[in-house]
Amino acid sequence: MLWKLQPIQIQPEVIFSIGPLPVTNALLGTWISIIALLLIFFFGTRRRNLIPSGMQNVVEWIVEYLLNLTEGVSGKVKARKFFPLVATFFIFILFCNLLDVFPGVDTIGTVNLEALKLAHLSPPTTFLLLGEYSNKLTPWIRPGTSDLNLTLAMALVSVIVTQIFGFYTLGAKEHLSKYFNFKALFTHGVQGPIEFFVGLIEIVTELSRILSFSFRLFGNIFAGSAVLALFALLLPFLGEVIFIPLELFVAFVQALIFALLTLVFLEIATSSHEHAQDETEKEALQQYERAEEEKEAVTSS
Amino acid sequence: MNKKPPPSVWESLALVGQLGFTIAIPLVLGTILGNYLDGITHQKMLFLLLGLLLGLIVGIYGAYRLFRRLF
Repeated sequence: MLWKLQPIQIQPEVIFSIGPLPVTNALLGTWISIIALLLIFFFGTRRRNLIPSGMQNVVEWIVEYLLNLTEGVSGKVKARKFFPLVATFFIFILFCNLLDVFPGVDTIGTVNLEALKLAHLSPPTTFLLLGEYSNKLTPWIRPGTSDLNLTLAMALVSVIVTQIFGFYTLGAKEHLSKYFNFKALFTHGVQGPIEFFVGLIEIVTELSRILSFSFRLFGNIFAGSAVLALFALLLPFLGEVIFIPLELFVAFVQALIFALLTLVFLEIATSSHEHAQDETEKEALQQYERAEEEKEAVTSS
Repeated sequence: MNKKPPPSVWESLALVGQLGFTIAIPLVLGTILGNYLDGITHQKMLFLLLGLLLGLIVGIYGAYRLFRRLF
């Protein structure tokens, strides 16, 4: 047998440690993504011209597209507040996910000496690990989002910031009354207890978002890298032609879903129960109607 | 007439992606909680079924809230 499948393990492996802090391969992957991001945005914004060219063009296109997307969901006023968080989530997750398809990620590393000892093998003499040695590898780099710690941290940031924005825009009283609806308990008669219970349900759905955000991102990217590793063995060359474009698409879609869901829940948390049709919705409706009129004008002419 | 603009394709996609989790996670949490309460109170199935029912209600309500944005 030429190759053996790498053991698919969920927890990232510790490569080295700085003092008491262990540095795992997923953390190294995250650092590489951050450095790549810094370089792209550094060179994109270094010489800013009024008429953009080269890298500046790309960076401006990304930012403008994301700003338009944010404004489409939450209106012009709120979008300016939400945009930094949402765009950061999108770009950072996208770069972490894209690391998945680079050659060398998950395949370059050190030989795991303990696994060698367990399999009664002598240390390898070549750089390429073949046969029995091929699954005794500790990879140096692993995509950051294939580690549950990073996705859980980002999900916590998303949920907590949503709450902070809710308190900030609606005030403590109105925001808390979404969850503990004591007013309905006394004024709405028979419906009161049901409305109070619905408020308690909201707490559960808020908390379950931590799980859904973190596990969706982690599951998709982790499964993606497992599929790529598997098909490199089952169907070399041909399998990757199919699955690398698929992984590129998954990387993009997962980053977008994380960012957009954060945005949607921010929007829900900052719009009050009582006057549902507030400013941003009116504005969005106006924009929509204008766009529809333009479409009709184009089709009729 | 409370007419809202329809969300963009990407927003709809994100909401649909959230739907499965919205139904599944409260169900699992309710079941785990019910099982734990069964262990404490030495009941056979009572709290497990109650937790399952509660999780189902929460899941369906969450899905309804999510999809009110779409239509």
